[in-house]
Amino acid sequence: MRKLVLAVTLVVWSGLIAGCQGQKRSTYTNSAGSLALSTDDSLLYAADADNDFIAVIDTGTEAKIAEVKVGRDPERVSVGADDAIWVTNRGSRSVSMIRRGDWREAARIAVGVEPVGLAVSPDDRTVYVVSSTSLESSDYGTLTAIDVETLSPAWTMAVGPEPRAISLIGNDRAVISFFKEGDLALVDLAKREVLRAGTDLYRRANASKLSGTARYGSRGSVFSSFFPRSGNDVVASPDGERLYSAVVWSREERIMVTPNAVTGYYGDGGPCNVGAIATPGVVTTALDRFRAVVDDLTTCSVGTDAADRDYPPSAITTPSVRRPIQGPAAMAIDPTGAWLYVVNRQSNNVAVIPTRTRQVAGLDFESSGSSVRSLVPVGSGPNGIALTRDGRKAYVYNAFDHSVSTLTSQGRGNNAVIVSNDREPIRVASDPIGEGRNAEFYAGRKLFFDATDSRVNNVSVGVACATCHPAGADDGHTWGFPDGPRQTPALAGRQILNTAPYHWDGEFATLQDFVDHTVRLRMGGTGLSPALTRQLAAYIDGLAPADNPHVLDVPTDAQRRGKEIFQMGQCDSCHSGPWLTNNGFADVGTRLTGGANPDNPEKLTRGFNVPSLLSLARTAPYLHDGSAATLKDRLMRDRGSNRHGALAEVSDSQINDLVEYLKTL
Amino acid sequence: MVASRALATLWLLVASSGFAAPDLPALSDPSAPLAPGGSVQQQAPTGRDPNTTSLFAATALGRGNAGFGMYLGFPLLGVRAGYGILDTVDVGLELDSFYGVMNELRAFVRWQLYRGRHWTWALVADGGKAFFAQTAATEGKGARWLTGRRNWNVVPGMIASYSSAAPLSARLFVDLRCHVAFDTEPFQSDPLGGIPPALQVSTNLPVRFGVEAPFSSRTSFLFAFGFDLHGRVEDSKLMPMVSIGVVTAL
Repeated sequence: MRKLVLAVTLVVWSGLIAGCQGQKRSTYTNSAGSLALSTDDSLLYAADADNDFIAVIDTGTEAKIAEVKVGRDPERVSVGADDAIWVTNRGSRSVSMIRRGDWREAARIAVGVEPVGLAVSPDDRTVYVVSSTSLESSDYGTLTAIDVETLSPAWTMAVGPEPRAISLIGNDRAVISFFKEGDLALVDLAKREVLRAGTDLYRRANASKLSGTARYGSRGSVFSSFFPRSGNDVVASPDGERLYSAVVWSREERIMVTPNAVTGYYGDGGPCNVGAIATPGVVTTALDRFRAVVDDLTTCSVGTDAADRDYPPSAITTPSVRRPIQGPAAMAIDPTGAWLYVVNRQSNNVAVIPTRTRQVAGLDFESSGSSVRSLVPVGSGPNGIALTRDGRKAYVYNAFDHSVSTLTSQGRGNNAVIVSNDREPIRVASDPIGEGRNAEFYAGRKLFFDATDSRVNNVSVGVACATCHPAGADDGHTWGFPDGPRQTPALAGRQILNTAPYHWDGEFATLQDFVDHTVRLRMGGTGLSPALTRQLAAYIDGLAPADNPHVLDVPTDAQRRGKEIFQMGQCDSCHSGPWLTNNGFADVGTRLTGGANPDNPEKLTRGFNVPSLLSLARTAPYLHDGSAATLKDRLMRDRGSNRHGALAEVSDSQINDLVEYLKTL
Repeated sequence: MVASRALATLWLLVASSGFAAPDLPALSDPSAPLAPGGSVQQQAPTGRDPNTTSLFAATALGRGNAGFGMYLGFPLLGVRAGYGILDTVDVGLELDSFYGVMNELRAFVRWQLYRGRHWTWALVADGGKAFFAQTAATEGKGARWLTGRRNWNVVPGMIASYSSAAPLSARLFVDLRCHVAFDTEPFQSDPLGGIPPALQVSTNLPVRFGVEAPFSSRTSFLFAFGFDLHGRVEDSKLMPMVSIGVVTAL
């Protein structure tokens, strides 16, 4: 009898184990960015930011059947279980809702500033929207829950600065990516609180460098730490165990003084001894511990046990140096969780990466050093992807071409290749002319974004202007240039063409001089003719400033007082005129004379080039070396010296007022 | 052909070895009629008790009797415990392991159809759930490739065994099965190659030759070899197996 009891117990135990294994937790979505499929895969919705509409495409006939006007700069689109289409209007602080078959905007709901991230809850009752900043302050972004039934915001909560994408974990949790910080936050949607801010990503990715145990030699010769920037997207695996987020690993260590004559010094070494100083990456995060699972970026070169790891290499490495990968903008994962599709906006391709192994049919990371199973060329400026539910087709939206590429597979195993209809994509629109945009603007935009154009950069380096100036903004990074640390300045909305000379040290009198230097010596390109430089200038000049919550129809009292202090403190003696710079030079006591990478005194005999203060609010960190995290940090530091404005006698509350004013510029 | 030659060789070796104990007295009356149910009423010899505890051959344990076995080999090691619920029907549990990379807990039933003086035939079926250390998407040429097993497995088949009349004679057996594997971990092996169905069924053909060679009235050595023919394209086409172990009465 006891034997029978034992047997029954064993059977029950094994059944329990089997039952527990089957739980699924994530909210799977088959699309990302500017593209989404209807629930039956028969319709494709593409958000065209230039034309402010959603293109509706019949996937059977591959023809556009409708276009629906929405708000300005529609960025992301998502489809609910009831087939409602949701769109974030980045330029209109709103979300649009469209009902399938009724091809007009059914509702527009106000949210935060520059809404970008979007997700529909699995129960279809709530739409979650991530906005880059709140309506009150640029210091933090927001997460807004929209009640689908009432079509109105149910609640809004603050999250960290510059959030970008969202991925839902069931109905009660969400993960948010942050653009400048490159890390993730875990949010409890029921309690409306941030459970975990950060995955310990930076420390884990640079563990050996930070601990001083990194070694030169076969385990990596680049002796630098790397900061994750440009956290554009995050996606959860279907089993809810892991998250994959896109970053650009940005080098922190000093870039070598002697530039490589072929690649330029932006090719001076990236993470894992591959790529450029700014290299695209995929970060894996274990959701149960909310901890980054990453390679050590100093020691993860080929030849180590890296090939045995069950997550994608943390740096995306191309299978061919002639085909760069840059600017990960959107990511989708197949329903089985085996493949990650990374849409690369600056290299015009899609990288298909296995998620759980580094060795599959057609890919051997150990021997090739590449993490990419297939690298599929698509059109220009891709920023969205949607996978069909049968796992046989992928659509990619090419924002600069206003077209859709269709990706399919041919062959099996080692012979399987993915092909695109790149020669005959589905066209949905053309470049709109007007409002300061013309053919030169659009041509310049392609130059600005294209890491595959050998005129702009050496393709083995694979960096574009947009790599550090994403969409003309800044990446928040301070680079260790040979002349000293230099924080990436924002370009958008700063009237750059009126603010020569260029660079922090003002060494370039004209934009052509600047382009010649940067393109040839830094990026390794063959160079841009004056005509091409004009195109580039047309794009930069046409960039709208980042939306700013501090700009109000009627200034607040603090802003008015701050303006008076700006004048009283003689800030406008240098930051003067319509562009808030006198285009001169000033020594405000910030030059670094020591440390690992001091400023080159020979380049700074006149001080630093006075930067424009336009669009200041969302361009943190501040100063040439990025040493001031906030405007107040800058103003409070060393203010008694009166070297950076006559602020010695200004009270703390007046400093606060001044900050409020500076944020309105 | 190779396998059948090997079986014949093993058969001759064992039959001529001490395991057959040819000098021991035979059953008291070899010509005694079969008992109801097809089993022979083993009569205790005057010198040594017969060993009737079998877990891998076709001979049933008998009502109320229990047996335990363990084996070590390639690609699997495992333990098996059986209990005779009827004179001709045993049930039991078994744990197979590909050295920790794959562990399968399975139940088995054996129905002794026929037992003659030398030959015994039985229908058998195993079934259970396998736990893999790696997911199907992660694993390359691992436990699934080697064993053909998937998340759930059912292995019906037939065993034929032969023994001489001696109390401690070896039980030579041939075990032919049809392994039906149920894969509940579908994944895309090729990007954009299509989503496989939620449940994928594949079949394999395991063939085993072996011997339970008693060295006492309760305990036997186990030697087995054979191969699996795998029907799933992702798996190895043919995988040899070999194991040694012991079987004992509880």
